[in-house]
Amino acid sequence: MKIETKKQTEKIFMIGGGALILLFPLLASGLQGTSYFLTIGKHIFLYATFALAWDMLARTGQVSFAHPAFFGLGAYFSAILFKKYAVMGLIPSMIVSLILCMAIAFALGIVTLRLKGLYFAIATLAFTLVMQTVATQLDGVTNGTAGITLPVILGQNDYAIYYFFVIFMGAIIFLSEYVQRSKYHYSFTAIRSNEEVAKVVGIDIVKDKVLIFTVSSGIAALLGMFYAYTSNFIDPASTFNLEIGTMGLAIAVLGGLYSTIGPIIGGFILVVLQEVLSNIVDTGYMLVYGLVIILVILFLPKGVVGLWNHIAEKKKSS
Amino acid sequence: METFIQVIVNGVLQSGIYMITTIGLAIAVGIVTIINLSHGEFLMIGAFIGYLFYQILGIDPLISIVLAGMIVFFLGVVTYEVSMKKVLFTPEINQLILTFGISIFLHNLAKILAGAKPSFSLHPEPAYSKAWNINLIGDAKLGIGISVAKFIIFIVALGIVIGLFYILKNTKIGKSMRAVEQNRYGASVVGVNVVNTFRIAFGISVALAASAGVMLCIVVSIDPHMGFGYTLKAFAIIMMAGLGNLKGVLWASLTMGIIESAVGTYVPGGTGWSDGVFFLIILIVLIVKPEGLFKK
Amino acid sequence: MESYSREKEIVLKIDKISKHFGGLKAVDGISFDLRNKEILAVIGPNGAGKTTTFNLISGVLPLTSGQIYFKDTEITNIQPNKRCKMGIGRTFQIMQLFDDMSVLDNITTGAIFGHANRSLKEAKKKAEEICERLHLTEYKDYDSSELPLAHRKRLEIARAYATGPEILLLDEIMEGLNMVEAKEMVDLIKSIRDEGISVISIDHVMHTVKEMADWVIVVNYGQMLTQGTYNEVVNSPEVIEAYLGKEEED
Ligand SMILES: Nc1ncnc2c1ncn2[C@@H]1O[C@H](COP(=O)(O)OP(=O)(O)OP(=O)(O)O)[C@@H](O)[C@H]1O
Ligand SMILES: [Mg+2]
Repeated sequence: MKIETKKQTEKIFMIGGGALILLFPLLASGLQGTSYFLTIGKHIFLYATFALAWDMLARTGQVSFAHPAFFGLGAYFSAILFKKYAVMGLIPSMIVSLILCMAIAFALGIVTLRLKGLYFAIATLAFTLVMQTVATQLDGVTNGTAGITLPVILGQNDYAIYYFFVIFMGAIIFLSEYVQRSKYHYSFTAIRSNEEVAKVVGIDIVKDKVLIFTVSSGIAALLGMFYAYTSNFIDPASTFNLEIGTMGLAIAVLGGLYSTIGPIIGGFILVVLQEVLSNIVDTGYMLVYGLVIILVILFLPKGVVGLWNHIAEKKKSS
Repeated sequence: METFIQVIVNGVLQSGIYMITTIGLAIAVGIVTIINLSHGEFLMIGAFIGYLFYQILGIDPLISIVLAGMIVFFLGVVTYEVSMKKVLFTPEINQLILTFGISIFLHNLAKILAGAKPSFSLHPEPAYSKAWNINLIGDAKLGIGISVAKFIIFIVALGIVIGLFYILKNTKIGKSMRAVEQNRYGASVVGVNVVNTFRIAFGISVALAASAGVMLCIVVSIDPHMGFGYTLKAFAIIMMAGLGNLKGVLWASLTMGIIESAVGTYVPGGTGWSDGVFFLIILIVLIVKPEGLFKK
Repeated sequence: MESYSREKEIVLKIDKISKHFGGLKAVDGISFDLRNKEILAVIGPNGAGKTTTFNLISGVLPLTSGQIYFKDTEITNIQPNKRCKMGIGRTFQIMQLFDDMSVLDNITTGAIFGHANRSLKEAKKKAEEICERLHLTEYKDYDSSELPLAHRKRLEIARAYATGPEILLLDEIMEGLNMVEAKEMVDLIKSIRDEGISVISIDHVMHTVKEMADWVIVVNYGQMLTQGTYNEVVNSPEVIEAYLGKEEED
């Protein structure tokens, strides 16, 4: 019964939301400021996808703060190869960057494997801060705080960029749902519940943890590249940015951890909220992120999705 | 040679701040079993209390160390009651996320209150904030500089550390805290009020951070963002010391203080690298020896 | 009973294994073996080192010294997940269910990753069957943390059994059960044995040991005191001494 309600919820959201996302640009095309709305759309999809990637890793109980590092590394590897030294084309540079990032993630995943909970969180945080320092200090290679100016892809067309991010989000949603319906769902949940016991029932936790860490970090790297080539400019502060990690975490928590739909819904709510707030106050609107995280963990630990399921179930049983 | 001594001196002086901040955090992690990612925000609050008391009321920051400690103690108890308490026995991930949320909330609140001004430093400086040079081998040129303020702070920090160890060892609340750390169920059986001990321990934990904050406002300029870095450094030092090893915290603080000062001096463009090196060391310690470097 | 013959294939051979925690010798040079399709009971006072022995066999803890052989393969340094895949399943004395999962999913997890190597679909089907057999069907959609205690014990067994083991290690599954439940449990263990699974059962409850154990070993202070059939063992002077000591404590 519980499970059915959940599936129904997801269906409603998926179909309704999907239609809205696809049709929105057409509906909005007559209005003033379309481009503004399309850019917000892009942000929603970027952060929602980022949060979803983060959540896929969190399903194994690993709270990673390394995602901003891979976001930044993805952007920088590609930008350095393609723009700064111009040694290859755009697409090859992105492929090489992805491979490099995933190789680094693989190595980091292996060496941090023994670490759990707090230790893992601190280790990944330390990694991000080290990378941030390197990107800032190695200015011969990275231009340091001066940053790198980049061309914008897709002919700078807001519609094209909008749909590009929609498609990428769709692909990651698909991946996440595949995971949820596969053996990995069981292994991740078991690892999150109790690693020792997970081993004893035959789960290769080393393999599964490193695998999802690598994949999840790879997605962050791709998002970093997409961000770079749709924003015209990158610097260490905007890419190796812990605030992006914060947003990803807050989005997943608000929407509902360990689900596909949660981070997507959370992304919509928080990015729109942030947009509204930043029009009202010009500084400190992250305050609301903090507040959301606090309130959700205290009062709504299963997030918006959990709340929705709860209400739907009550309606049914009454 | 003089530079080398200077590096050591600076590092040692800096380590006092790390010691009390980190022992505070170690109390939260070890005794209350709260992984408090908002620890540094209480340091930031302490720093602003010290700053405001000085600028508005003319209270010397050295006195504010005590006042801020008391104020933030109560703030900590309240924070504990309304939030931390509820995640004590939930999965670690909930604690991490909750306290991270509190951190974001507090530092952005401070940012809004601080307005456009990016950073704050005491003006005019207290009288003792002047450099004082000790001459080495009687030659004025080979002197090493010791800032009086930093020296005083270091002594005060050591005093706090000694006082704290005394409290833990000899007072009723200190004994309860250690009993709870050993075994919280056992402690409740032998009549320790665990709930109350947690509350007070958490208050002490953040009060220590706040007093470190006041000390900082004397020697550096402060800003709303300063907290999180100290949270990370404190965690880093705990990991280096090994979880639950309070004495190890002292050695780890010294080590990190000196390393940081050395990187700042010897590496070209050093100060920019020093945080990076700090965290690199932590990353390596975590990977190679997660149980910590120092013997209990 | 007395005529029990151990002339059967050895499926698990424990050779002078030790585990020291600092100065504490929790397990101190124990050797024994488990025969095919046998129920072997391990008895001994609290703190004797029984659970630690299981931790060594299942690979949860590394050994201080000694060797363990599963059939003809040495498994002393093999990872716990590989040991499970080879066919060693276990339960935990302090129950360790996957809290974030339903009862059925707990069992399914065992069925997917264990020795049997099933597809997800097969595993789900198998899990339903096991649920039925262990009388858990009624609760299958419960969160495992919501389950009443006696059922949690059964779920522990169900998950271990779902891995499709050749050897099943059971840690104090009789504890806290009433007479009827204990009788059911004994029948269940016997039927599992009759399927061809060899069982080691740590057990404090003497009448269930009597009813089901083919062979009994007695440990105390990390060492084996004696072994034999139930009747041999309960009449041995060392055991009477060790156990009378314990009965008084209780
Ligand atoms: N991880 C550990 N670290 C330190 N000591 C341990 C550890 N595990 C067990 N011990 C100690 O080893 C000894 C044997 O413990 P074990 O759990 O194996 O006993 P047992 O025979 O299963 O007892 P019981 O009947 O109470 O379950 C005990 O003194 C116990 O305190
Ligand atoms: Mg035991």
